[in-house]
Amino acid sequence: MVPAIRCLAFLLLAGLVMAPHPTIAQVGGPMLQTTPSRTAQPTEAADPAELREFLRLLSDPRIVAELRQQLEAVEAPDKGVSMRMHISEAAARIEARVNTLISSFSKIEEVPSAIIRAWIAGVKPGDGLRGLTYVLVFLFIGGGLEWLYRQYARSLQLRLAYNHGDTLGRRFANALGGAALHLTGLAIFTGGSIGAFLLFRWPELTREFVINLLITVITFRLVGAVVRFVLAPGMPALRLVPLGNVRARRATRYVMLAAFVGIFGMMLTDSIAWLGEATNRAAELAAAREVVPVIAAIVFAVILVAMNLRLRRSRSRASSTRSARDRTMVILNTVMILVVLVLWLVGARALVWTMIILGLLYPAIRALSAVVDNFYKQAEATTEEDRQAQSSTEAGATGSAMSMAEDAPPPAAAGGDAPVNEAEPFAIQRLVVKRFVRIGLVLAAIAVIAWVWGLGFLSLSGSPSTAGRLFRTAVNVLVTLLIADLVWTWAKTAIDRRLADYGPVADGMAPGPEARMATLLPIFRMFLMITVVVIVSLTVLSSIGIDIGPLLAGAGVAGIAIGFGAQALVRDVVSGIFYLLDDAFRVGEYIEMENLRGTVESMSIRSLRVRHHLGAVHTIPFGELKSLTNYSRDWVIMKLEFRVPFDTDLKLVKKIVKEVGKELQAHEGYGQHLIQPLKSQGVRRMEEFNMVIGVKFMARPGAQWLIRRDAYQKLRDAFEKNGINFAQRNVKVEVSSETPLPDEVRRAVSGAAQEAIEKRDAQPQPVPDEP
Amino acid sequence: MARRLRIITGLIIFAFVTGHLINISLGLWSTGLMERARPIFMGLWGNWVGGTFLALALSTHVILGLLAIYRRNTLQVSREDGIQIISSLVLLPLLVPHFVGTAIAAGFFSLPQNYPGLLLYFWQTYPGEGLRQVLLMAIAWIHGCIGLFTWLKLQPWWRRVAPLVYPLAVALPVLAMLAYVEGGKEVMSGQVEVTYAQPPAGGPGFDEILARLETVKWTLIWLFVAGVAVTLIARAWRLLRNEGLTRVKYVGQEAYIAGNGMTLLESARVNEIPHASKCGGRGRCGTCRVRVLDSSRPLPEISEAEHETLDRFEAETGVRLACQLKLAGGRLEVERLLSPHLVAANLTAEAERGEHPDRKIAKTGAV
Repeated sequence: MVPAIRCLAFLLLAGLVMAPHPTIAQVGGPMLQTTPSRTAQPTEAADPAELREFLRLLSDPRIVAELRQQLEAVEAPDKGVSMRMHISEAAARIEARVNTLISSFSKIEEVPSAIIRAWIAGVKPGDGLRGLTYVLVFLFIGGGLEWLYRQYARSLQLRLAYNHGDTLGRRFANALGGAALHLTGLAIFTGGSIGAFLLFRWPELTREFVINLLITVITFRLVGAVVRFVLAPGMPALRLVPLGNVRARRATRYVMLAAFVGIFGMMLTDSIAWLGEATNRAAELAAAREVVPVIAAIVFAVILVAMNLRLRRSRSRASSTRSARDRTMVILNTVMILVVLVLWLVGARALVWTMIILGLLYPAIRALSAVVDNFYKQAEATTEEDRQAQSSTEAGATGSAMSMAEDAPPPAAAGGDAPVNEAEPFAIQRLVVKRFVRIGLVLAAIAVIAWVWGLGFLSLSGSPSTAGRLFRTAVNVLVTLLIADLVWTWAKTAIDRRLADYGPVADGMAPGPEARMATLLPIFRMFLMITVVVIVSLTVLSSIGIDIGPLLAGAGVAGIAIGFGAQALVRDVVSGIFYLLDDAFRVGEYIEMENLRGTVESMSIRSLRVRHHLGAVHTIPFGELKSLTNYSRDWVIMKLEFRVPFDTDLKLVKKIVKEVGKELQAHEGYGQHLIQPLKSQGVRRMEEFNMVIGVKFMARPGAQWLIRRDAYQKLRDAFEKNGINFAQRNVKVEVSSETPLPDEVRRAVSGAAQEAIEKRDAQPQPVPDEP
Repeated sequence: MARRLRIITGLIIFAFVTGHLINISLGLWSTGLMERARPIFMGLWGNWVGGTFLALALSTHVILGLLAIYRRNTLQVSREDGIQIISSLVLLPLLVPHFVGTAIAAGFFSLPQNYPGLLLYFWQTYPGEGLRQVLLMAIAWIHGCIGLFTWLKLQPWWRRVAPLVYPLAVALPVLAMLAYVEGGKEVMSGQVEVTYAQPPAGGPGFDEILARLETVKWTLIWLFVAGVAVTLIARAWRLLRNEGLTRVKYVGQEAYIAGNGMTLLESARVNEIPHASKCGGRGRCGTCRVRVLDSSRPLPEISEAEHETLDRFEAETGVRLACQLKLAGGRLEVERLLSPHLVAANLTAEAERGEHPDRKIAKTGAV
């Protein structure tokens, strides 16, 4: 992603470099607009008299000369602003600038004496020292007032510093509050010193001198306040940038040194300028005015390079894997700084700014995203300070970004594809914030670069010139990519997060409802990715200028054809998704559809695979499913029946059932699967020779078979122990004769009884329902 | 004893400086008033007894300060201590010209100075000297205030009084500086008649006196520089002689190796282990207490001052003050008994309850 941004930025730069050159505008503008008007064809046939008159005019040499002159006048500006001319002009400017510098530096030994002479001429003897005395007094007053303020504000400040907020908002408020306290102190310092300064009347030159010094000190302190706010060298908990203590302190030192050199150089240059004006020695001081800022700039650059090297070295020591990359970054940064310095020296201000912004863009994105990370990380951590300090140090040690002109590789968790887990409640928010920060920075960089080159951000994109079109295209593409990245990252993170929540299904356990999401989410993610990619590529193509109408139409036709061809397939997929959403079945459940039944073994995107309890495997496309019965949800009730003689003691039966129920519930194998214990329902119905006693229990699906088996067994044993016999099928043959029956007759009677029994037995058997 | 003496002499000098600044502040009204009020504020020190006393206090303070530098094992100190050390080194060279020009000139050469004359001298004749005066005043006051507040911080009543004292500590030097500026403008404008004392007849002439004063001034400055140099060299020699290393491990921190002779607190500072120390390593506050968990060699004896402080907290055996415990080689494992951030954590809580911090610190449990 980031290299892509860089590429685009370079494209953009190319566009911008060309943009301010009038050439392109001229080529695109007047040529296209004026030429047609000059060569416009008359819409009506020309009058012969008019043509004759025209010929006469053309033959007149004066008219021809006049026309030629006009033509040259029209063409002249076009020639004058060709690219080559422009470059040579710039080269001449640079040459002049370099010559000035060289001539200034050749007089470098005269510079101090020139300044001293001007000083002596402009300032009364002793006034300088007196001015310095005044400055000291004012600074002391400002400092004293600030110290006083700090004594009173200290408890508040400490409370802000040591109360780590648990919530993000609280942390942010704390950080802002701390900064506000610090800035108030600075304001009091400024007010005290400047106020004391205003109490006195001053001679003109001394006044300038004093106020320049005061402004220098105050600016320096302001820079210091910002650096403190960002780097917080003494307080790891308040640090916005994830740096270790040592490196934060080192960075602070370097930045402050660089700031001092820069501010002091500017002050000195300004002072020399006004000294020259006030004493009418501007010419004499011209060399000094050139030399001082150049020296300051060189020192400034040297400090930056040194900081670059120093901060890098400590990191590459920490982790050797990054050292190669670090070294490249060090070299890149150093080259950057030197290039900017050289550009500044030759006076190419717009290029300087462009370089600085482009150079800073990537590190700034990195740094800000590290800041966001750090911020969230600290908000998440509710541990004590020491641990926090340690983690912050670690974050610094593993490498991270730092502010200002330096770049850094991201901390381990900074990348957009960082693994997310439950411990990071802000993971999605954090990523989205980082994306927004990135978009904001890129847009700001574009706007600033355009502004530096003297171009309106909006007017340029509206202009019909080539540069304008290039610019508009680049911005369109860039913004599309950034937004797509934002959407994609957000969706992907959200989906991955949900997926990560679903651990693998434990062996032997039926998968829960998450299995269905685990099936759906990757499909959804893929679908989303395709959508985003297609939309982005179409948008990019259309902003580049390619007509996407035919593409869309073609895609539409293809879509329809495929749709017709794969109607059944589509129906299967779609109804499958809806079955999944309905949570109608899951893997491992026992279901029945129309005349098929079995355990769900697997689901594909199109079909369902069910294994019958006898081993047969059914594959059913989702589209074929009309209705579906699931036997594995929540609970099942199992009813048992016993036939006992009419003289059975029902109370005893009830007691026995209750005891057996308790026994079953206490069973370690399936006791917990019993939802309601075994209980007697009393006599369910009366039959010819016996009564039917109903017994039922409620259990979890799948456990009922085992429980039923044991229940039968235990009940039978218990009944037997208590003398209750199960009713036997018997046929009572009443013989009315008093005399014993002869053998044949008895045989015939028992034969008839047997027949009666068999007739009963011939009734249809119930279908076995156990898998 | 040395510490108490340092505070006492410091207080004497501070009292003198305060009186002097109040006197100068009167220059906001007029230099005349400033001069007239001089006997009231400066009279006590102007005579032989007061002058000698003050000079003795000053030299004692300087020597004790140098001794303290000699005793330091590391120059990596807290911010306030750093300011104190640097300002003390700068102060004397800044002070000597003023001291010689006024006290010595008046005492030994009968050349008393007056405020208008000095102001004109500082502002008109030698603006560089005027600059030096302002620097001297600012640095001396900062040095004095830090010293004073470090001492006062441990007094039980200080918390209640402090908010009232702080404005005074700022107002006094600010007023004095403004008076100095205002007086300078007044004398420069020529409205005030400035008279210089003449050397008494029969003695050496003015120029000769000036030359002698110059000699005295440079002698004093070089003496001080030599004293500082000797102190630093002696310190370096002492540190070099400290052979052997100690491996120190704080519970929950990385172990580090430090040279012997340092105190535990100093070694912790050098190795960036945060440590509470309210009195700045003077053995008074007891906030740097540590429990020694393991030591491969017998620890140095507990000094009397350390004993006193430890008794105050009814510390058990094995508890020592990190600022007094000198490393003596071998391995040492210790545990901080107070949170390194206790200053912050407790100050806020106590400020609300208005309780004395010391009591609380004593009772705060282990980290």
